[in-house]
Amino acid sequence: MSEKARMTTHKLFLLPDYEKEGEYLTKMHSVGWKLERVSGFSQHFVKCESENVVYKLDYAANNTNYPEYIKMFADYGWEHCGRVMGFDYFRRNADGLSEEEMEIFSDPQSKLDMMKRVILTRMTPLLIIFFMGILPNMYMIVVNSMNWDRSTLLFLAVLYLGVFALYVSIFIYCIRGFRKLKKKYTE
Amino acid sequence: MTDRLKRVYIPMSETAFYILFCLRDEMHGYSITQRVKEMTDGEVVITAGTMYGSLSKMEKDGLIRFIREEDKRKLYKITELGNEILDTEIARIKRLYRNIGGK
Repeated sequence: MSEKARMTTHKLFLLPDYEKEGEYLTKMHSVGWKLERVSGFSQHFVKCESENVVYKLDYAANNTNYPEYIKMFADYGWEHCGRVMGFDYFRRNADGLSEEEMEIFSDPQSKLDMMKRVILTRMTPLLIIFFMGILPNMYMIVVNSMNWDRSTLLFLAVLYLGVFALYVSIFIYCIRGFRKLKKKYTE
Repeated sequence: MTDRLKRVYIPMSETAFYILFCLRDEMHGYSITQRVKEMTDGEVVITAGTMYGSLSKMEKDGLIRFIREEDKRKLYKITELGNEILDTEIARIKRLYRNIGGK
């Protein structure tokens, strides 16, 4: 028996990119790469026949009864195929399905509700870490700058400014992304 | 009935209305979708994520309550509070219907 071909891609999908990620996985399946599992920012595929399979991500937050959640999606024809950072991945064969059946949300309010859950339980903790971790450290550098030699100071300044810039650009990216989604859902 | 719940649920979305309306009988998520499809000749389709999110929200707000589990499916039923909100909405829709010339 021959070993099936496998492939891993490393695509960075940030918080507001869950729809894009579903579209990416749908596209991959249509060209013969079926999702095997997801981990962090990696997508692991196994070779398959080209199929019309639609992928969707849900974010339910504080599932008290996980098997019941999976079962409900299964009742509707959705196969659970991964979970990363609270996002659940579902897929189903799209042959002969109506537009509605290819969606996991049937009204704009529930799309907005999911977005709010992501913002509240994923984005907010990141903001808190930022204000409690990075900003006080930057302040300490300024306060202690007299006691350190120049090379240490320069190193720390570059390091923290780098982290700071990275954080800020991620936040700006996320805020813009969520705004776009909100506009899309409320139009 | 609290003002907050009134603001959130009235006027009601078609999704929320049919879920509450169906839950006058004990039912689980997928069976609600099936019944709503029959009631509306396939016009109103409530999908998985919307159903799960709506049931969770309504349970948290005390409009419906969990009755029992059957084969990993949660069965819910409307509460007194839920009934009160549903009746308010039904009265609103009836008034609307009267005013556009219905009987």
